[in-house]
Amino acid sequence: MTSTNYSAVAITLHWLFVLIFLVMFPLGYIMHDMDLSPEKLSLISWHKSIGITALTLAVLRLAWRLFRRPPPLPADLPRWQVGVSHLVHWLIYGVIFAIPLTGWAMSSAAGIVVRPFGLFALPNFVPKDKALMETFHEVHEMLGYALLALVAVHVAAALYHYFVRRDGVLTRMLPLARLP
Amino acid sequence: MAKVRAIPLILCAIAWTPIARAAESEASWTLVPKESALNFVARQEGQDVEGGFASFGGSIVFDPAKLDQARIDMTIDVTSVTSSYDEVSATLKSGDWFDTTKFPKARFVATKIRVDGQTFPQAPLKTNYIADGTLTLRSVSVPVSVAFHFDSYGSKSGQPAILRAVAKGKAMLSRTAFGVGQGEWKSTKSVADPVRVDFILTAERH
Repeated sequence: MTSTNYSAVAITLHWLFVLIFLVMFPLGYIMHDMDLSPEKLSLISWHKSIGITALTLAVLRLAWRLFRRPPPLPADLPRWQVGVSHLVHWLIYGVIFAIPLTGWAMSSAAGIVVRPFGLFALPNFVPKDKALMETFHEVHEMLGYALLALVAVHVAAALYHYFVRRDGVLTRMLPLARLP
Repeated sequence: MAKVRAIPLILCAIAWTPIARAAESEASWTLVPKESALNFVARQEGQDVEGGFASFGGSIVFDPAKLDQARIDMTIDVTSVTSSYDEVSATLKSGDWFDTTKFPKARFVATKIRVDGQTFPQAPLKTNYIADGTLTLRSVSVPVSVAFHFDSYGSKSGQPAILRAVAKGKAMLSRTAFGVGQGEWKSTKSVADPVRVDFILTAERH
């Protein structure tokens, strides 16, 4: 039975990422278009703190994925769908890692030390360079939109499994899926 | 008549002599702008935010053996403020911050330079100095003490007739004392009041 279900760790991380995405995407979008103000700076601080949390969770998620394979897909799933599923999942794993990393790089290149929740200082791991900062800014934004597109495909596929194929692919990721 | 006519000339000669002597002995330095930098670090919600001024200049009179004659008069082109984010630079130039249209220049004048700690009159490299002066920013003048030391002090390589010095120093300023940060920025909750100013001045003396 365990092989057909996701582990509690995987389920928890999945829904934490849903929460983070639902907060961070609009937050990034709104603060980007705001005029510079103390409120904007406060939102940027929150964005950075949550972003570093996401990076930590992304490392955990990747580590978990490498040591614990997800439950298999239904055996009768067409091969191309299996391929797309794997591709999209690995792209998401990469992007949830790359988005916070480019955000941190952007701040580093601006010479601004990231202090998640004001608790401790992270090192500036790239040199202070304005052009580099602008490059990371663009990549960070592009990756944000890429994640939005990937999430759209992911959600569409989950709904397809639930409503069209009526298999357990969506329900096995639900938080209460493991309860009897 | 000849005697009477000569008196003003003699008076002039007497009057000019000390000035001429002072000018001769005055240790006046010429700034090397390309090898000088003026930066600042502010704290915004616990994060260091750096910026700087690309353009500044002025006169420096300094001789380690004649500190009582030393004086510094620097003018900073506030419109040359830079930071990593264009948006931050633009905001710093705006009315709430430096208000560069109204106050394009800042000026630091120090006429008292003292030694901090032990004195080494002949060895400026070992000595820590403090320049007590006045900084005028946004037309507000506040007493400011600038601590500095020399990273190098000696003959320019290849040109022994030229003396070359690299001074590094810093000062702590209260941004609110100058009214830097008005309106919603007045509160020090987002941007802290203390701002550290760091500089490297490279200067030469013939």
